[in-house]
Order: sequence, then structure tokens, then C-alpha cells
Amino acid sequence: MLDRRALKRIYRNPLVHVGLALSMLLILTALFAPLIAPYDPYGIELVERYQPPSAQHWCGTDELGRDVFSRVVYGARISLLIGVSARSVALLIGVILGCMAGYYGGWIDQLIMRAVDITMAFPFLLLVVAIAVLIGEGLFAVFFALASVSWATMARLMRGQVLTVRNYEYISAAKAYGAPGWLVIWKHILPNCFAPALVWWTMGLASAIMAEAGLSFLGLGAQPPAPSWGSMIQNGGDALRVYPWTSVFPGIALALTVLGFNLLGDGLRDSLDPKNLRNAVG
Amino acid sequence: MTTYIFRRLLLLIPILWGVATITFFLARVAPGDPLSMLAGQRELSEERRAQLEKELGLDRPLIIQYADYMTDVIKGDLGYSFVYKQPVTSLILECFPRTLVLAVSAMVVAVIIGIAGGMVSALLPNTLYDRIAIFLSLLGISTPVFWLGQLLILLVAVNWRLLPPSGYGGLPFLILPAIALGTQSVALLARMTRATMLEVLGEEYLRTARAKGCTPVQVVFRHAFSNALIPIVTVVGLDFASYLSGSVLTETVFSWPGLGRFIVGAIANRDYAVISGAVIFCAFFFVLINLIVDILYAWLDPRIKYA
Repeated sequence: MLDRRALKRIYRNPLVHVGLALSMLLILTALFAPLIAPYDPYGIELVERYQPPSAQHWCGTDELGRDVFSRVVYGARISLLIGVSARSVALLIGVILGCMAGYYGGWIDQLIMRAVDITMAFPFLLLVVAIAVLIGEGLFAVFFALASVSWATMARLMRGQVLTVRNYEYISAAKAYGAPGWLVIWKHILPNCFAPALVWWTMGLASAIMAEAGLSFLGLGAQPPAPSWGSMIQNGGDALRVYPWTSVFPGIALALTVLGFNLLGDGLRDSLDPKNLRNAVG
Repeated sequence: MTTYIFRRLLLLIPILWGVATITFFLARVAPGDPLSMLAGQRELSEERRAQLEKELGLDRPLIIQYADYMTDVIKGDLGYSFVYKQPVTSLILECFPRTLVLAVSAMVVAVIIGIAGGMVSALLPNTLYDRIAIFLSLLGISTPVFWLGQLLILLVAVNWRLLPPSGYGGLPFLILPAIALGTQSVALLARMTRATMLEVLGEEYLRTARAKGCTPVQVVFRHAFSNALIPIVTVVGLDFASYLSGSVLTETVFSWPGLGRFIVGAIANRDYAVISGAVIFCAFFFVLINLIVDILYAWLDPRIKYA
């Protein structure tokens, strides 16, 4: 896991603070959306359509008179749900396969790494789009597509970590005691791989959220009337020249969210990089 | 080196075989039978269905269909679009040059602004310019390309009337999509150039170069920059490869009639033959560009030896 020195470096890193603040803002907005949003995000009020930002509607209203601020607030839920779930499942698959490849080697390693090579040979967004199209539109398709494409980088990273750790003496000692492979991986190898996995997961949240918005923009993600930021930007694009607020505010929310997770990931990477830790000691 | 290139080219074969296999089976496991998928949303009569099944060999065992499909892919035949009533390969080849033009333009924007910005940042570390550049690059990385495209249209084309908002034509039509597509690479390249230049500028051989009487320009460009090139080439190569395949969103926003917009049209029509063909085509370019980047490493850094 993380030692005290790494935690201290995380605590002292200003990038982590800003990233954490923006990420927490997203998480809290998603959790308390019903309390924060002043209007029903699905509530249609045709007489109120395309109202500019005002004291009543902070971010204006859209083509159906729905409150844009309330929809942006509820949109945080979709972004977070897809980002966290797709990334976590990819992490789980990547950790299991990467550990197996690195620990057992031989034909298992060859098989898994060739699967990794093939998955990484596809351009990311295009493969995600293709899978989402074949499964059918909707949030499950986005989740499935993102999870089934993102695991490969984690598996490669984890294999590298396991290869470094597996020849250490304490691993040999555990094996000599007769510990089964899964126990050695679980108790002795995985804790050593926690830091890179955490950085990978955090940095990937930003790209997963961006990809979800991109798919929704193309009409493959959340379906109307669900308040996804990507589909809101797409809908707003039609009226952009006259009613820019319908697209500008969901875009700001999306950019701030991605910025938050990027900063958090960057900060964690800087704090947990063994090179930086060595410099701090030396 | 030649042996290395030959070995890498040989390694492409199993990867491309895997890509084509996955694409074939993805299309088969998708809901609906292959014929309805090929036909898209149009209704087919029973007679026509039976006739097409025979014509396309869909009445034969799956393994035979797979073998036929792989033979076609090797020959460069990526299938037939029922929506466009044309072979997929010729449709893709028609759109691809327009995507290539956009990708090259975006990369030119990214390389010029990104590398120049990153170098100035590295030469003036912790100054106001450096901090502004870091902030802008973080903002650039975090801004979704489709939203940035909309903002550019709103500001530059609609409000200031400087450039056309969308469409295909000469240079004026190319500028906004190239900026939108290149922005993330500008930001990434600026960060990468700054970081690697800062690392290189602290090396002792640069002090030696200065002591030997090299001018600051010689020190920066000849000694420092040439040694910072490898990570920069990696970013340029990977981003360029993704532009060729992933400009789906940019081309949609700017109505640029390239491969990306063509794929979006295929998605709307549920033209699975085009989607799978485009995936294989783009994957081929993706791995090819990665190979070129690997070869460039050895050219840039003679210390890299490929066994």
C-alpha cells in the first residue's frame, strides 16, 4: 500500500489539492443532486424554452424549457457512474490478467500479452464506438465498451510490476513455505502494485468521462431525455449561434471535471513516482 | 536495423489477424442476424433474404464464412456496403485523403505551437509565462474536442465572421477544424517538451558545450533539443495515428467529409460493413505508424540498438 512518506508527498502536492477539490465537487454534486438542483431535470416547460441565464434559471433553459443548471447537476451522476464503473471493471480485469501473465509466465503470459497487443492495436475511440454500436445505444453499451477496451493498458502495467517484484527474496520465501500462487499474488505482490494502479485508475477516469461524453455526443451513450453532458452539448450545438448557454455550461462542467481528475492523477503520479521518492531521500 | 524492421513487420501479421478476427466475431455476436445488419434498417422480403444469403455465402458454416472473410481482407476487400451500394474499400479510400489533410494540418499546428511553447517554458522556468503556459496546456488537455469546436465556430465564425463555420473547401475551411483537433496535442507536446527540455538542460554535457564556446542557440537546438526529441516523437506519432482514426468528433462538428464523418454516417445507418471495414483500415494505420515511430527512435538516438 502507500507508505507514510508517499502520503506526506501527496499531502504536500498543490496539484493534488486542486484536483481533489474539483473531483470532490463532482462527487458531492452527483451524490446530492436532488438537493442542489432547483428544478426537475426532466421537467418540460415549453413556455420557458430558451430562456437566457437569470436569477431564476442560473444557466438558462434548453429547447424544451428544462433548467440547464439542474440538468448539468444531474449529468454529474452519469459521468461519475460510467467513469468509475468502467474504470474499476477494467482495473479488476487488468490486475487479474496482468498478475497471471507476470507471475506464471510461459504460455499464459504469451496468450494474455498477445490479447493485450491486439486490443491496443485498435484506435481507442474507434473501437469503443464500434463496440457501442454493435451492442446498441445506452449507458450499458458505453460502460461495456470502455471496460472492454481499457483493461489492456492496466494488464501490461501490472505484468511489468509483477515481473519486477516476483524475483524478490520474500516472494521466494513465501513460495518455499508452500503458499499457493493466488495467495502469493494477493498477499505479497498486489500491495506492491497499489501505487501505479491507483495512478492509472485516477488518470483514466478523465479519459473515461471524456469518452462517455463523446459517445453521448454521437448519440451512442445516454439516450434522451437523460441529462448527459455529451448529449446536452450535442443538442445545444443545433442552437449554438442563438442560445449558446445550452452548450456552454455542460461543456464547462465537463472540462472542469476532466481537469480535476487530470490534476489529481498528475499529482498522485508525481508524488508516488519512485524516482521522486529517491530524490527526496537522497 | 533491416532485420528489426522485417521482424516488426512479421509481428504485424498476427496482430492484424487478431484485429480482423475480433471485428468479424463482434459483428456476428451483435444482436440481429448478419443479413439484417448488412442491410441496415431496410426491410428485406423472405425471397430476397434467401437470395442474398446464398449470394453472400451466409448459408454456409461460420468457419467457412470466417475463412472467406479473412481471404477477402488479405486481398484488401473490406466488404460491401448495402447502404451505399459500393465496396467498403473504395468508399474508405474516397474519404481518407480528406482525413489525412486534416490530420496533417492539425499536427502541423500542434508541432509548431506545442514545441515552441514548451521550449520557451523550459528556458524561462517558474516565470509568469511558464505558469500561464502550464495552465493553458492543462486546460487544453481537459477541453473536449467537440465542445472546443463549437466554441470556435461560435466565436471565430459566427461572432467575428473571420472564417467559415463548417464544410469542405480551401484553406479557410481547414483552419478551425485543424486548431480544434490539434489543441490537445499542442497541450501535450508543450508539457512533454517542457519536461524533457528541463531534464536535458540540467545535464553536464550542456555545460561542456557552453564552456567550449557554443552559442545559446546552438546549445538549445543542437545539443539540448535533439536529445529531447524521443518523447516528443512518441507523442507526435501516437497522436497522428489517433487523428487518422479518431477525428470522428471533430469531423462531425465541422461537417468535414472525411473518414470520421463517414463512420458517423455509417453508425446512423447501422451500416455494419462500413463500420467493421473502417475499424480494420484504421487499426492497420495505427500499428503501421507505431512501427514508424519505433524505427524513428533508432534514427534519432544511435545508442538505441535493435537486436
